[in-house]
Amino acid sequence: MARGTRAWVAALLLTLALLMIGGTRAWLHRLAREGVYPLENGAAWIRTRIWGQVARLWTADGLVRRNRALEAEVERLRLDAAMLEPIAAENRELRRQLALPPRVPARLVPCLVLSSGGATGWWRQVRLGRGHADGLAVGDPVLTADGLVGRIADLTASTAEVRLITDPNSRIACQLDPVAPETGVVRGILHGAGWRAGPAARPELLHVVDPLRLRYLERDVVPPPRTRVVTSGLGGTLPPGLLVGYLLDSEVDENGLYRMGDVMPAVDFGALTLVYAMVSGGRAP
Amino acid sequence: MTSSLPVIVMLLGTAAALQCVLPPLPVHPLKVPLLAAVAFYYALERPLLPALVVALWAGILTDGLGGVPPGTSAVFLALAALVVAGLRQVVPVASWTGAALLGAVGAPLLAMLQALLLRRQGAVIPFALPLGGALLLAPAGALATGCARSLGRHLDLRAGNLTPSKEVESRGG
Repeated sequence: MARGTRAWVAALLLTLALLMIGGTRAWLHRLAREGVYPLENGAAWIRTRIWGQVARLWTADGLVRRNRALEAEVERLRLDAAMLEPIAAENRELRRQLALPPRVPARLVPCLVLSSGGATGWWRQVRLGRGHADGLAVGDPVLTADGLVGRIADLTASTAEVRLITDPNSRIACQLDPVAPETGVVRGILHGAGWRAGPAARPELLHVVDPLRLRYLERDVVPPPRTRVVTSGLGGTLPPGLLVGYLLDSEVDENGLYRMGDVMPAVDFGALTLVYAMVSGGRAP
Repeated sequence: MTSSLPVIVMLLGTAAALQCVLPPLPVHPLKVPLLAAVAFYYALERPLLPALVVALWAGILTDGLGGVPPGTSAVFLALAALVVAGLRQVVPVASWTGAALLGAVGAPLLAMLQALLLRRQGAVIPFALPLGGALLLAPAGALATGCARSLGRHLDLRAGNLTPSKEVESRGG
């Protein structure tokens, strides 16, 4: 047997052995993600830093206008923060007097979005350029200023896979906000987009943004359109009060057991470049 | 093998990064199967042993980067390499047309196998998704395999892994 052939046979046997041993398959997958991470990170860096700068050169006027608008927004936000500070102090004092436990400490870690859809596109997920080396953990919520993006589904040292709330496999415990005194808390389970029940299943153009489906709501409560939908915190996997979307309309299900409604996500999933992972520990966001 | 390894690493690395970073197909969430296209190129143009090694690693990368059950794409691409090796004995498949045909057939089949195994694992995948994807993946797979063949041949010729006479032979075939 020629030397080259022996080398190929050895490489083939080694690859097969790595695939056959159960424990190494997950390790191989993480290795693949870590291996591609520098290339993805480079592409993301070029997209945001170089291409962004080049695009700005062509839109200098727009840049000045945007800068002015951002300065005005910063001033407004500083004013808001100053006005909220006494309320926060009052809240802390009241919590102390009522002996309520402190809020779960969390910190926000900014993460660059490296790619979306993975290598196949089966999952509605994005890959972030931060991993467990940055303190992220599986199950941590991922947010933007607009609302909840999803949850971390898998991790390597430098990357995190985030399952979006629009994925058909996503399930989130939610409630309507604000809570009306006459109805009490109205809770439901938010299903990802693309969920179709039995005979109603039909092919659709998939580029159309499907609304999310909020199921198992109290049947007799008719919420008005544009009602905010936030996380309920039930189950303990997500903190309560994170904005998920807005209720478009609702109807009683065909069995008359519960109410379900369409929810438009608050986040624009087509324009995700920078997101924040809410990591346990550290100061409150 | 020494001169083949850099070409393999370069092709698989580039394909993996591009497959992740590039946007999905128009009107469909599936991605263009560049890693499978590289495996198809090796199956068409190179001996069986390197083709099998590349098929397995392309599959490992596809599964690892795409959240697909481990081994799905690796086994499919290895089987495809074996089938193509058998076909090469009777039909001259090493041509751009052969690459396009293999990509047009192989890419949709791979997507349907992935969908089937994901559904068996409990994932919610509507039937329309792989069926619609198959229609779009056929031309995308053909184009991707054609491009992978052109790039792969260029690199392999420069690295001395393919001889110019073989190039003439394959052009004739």
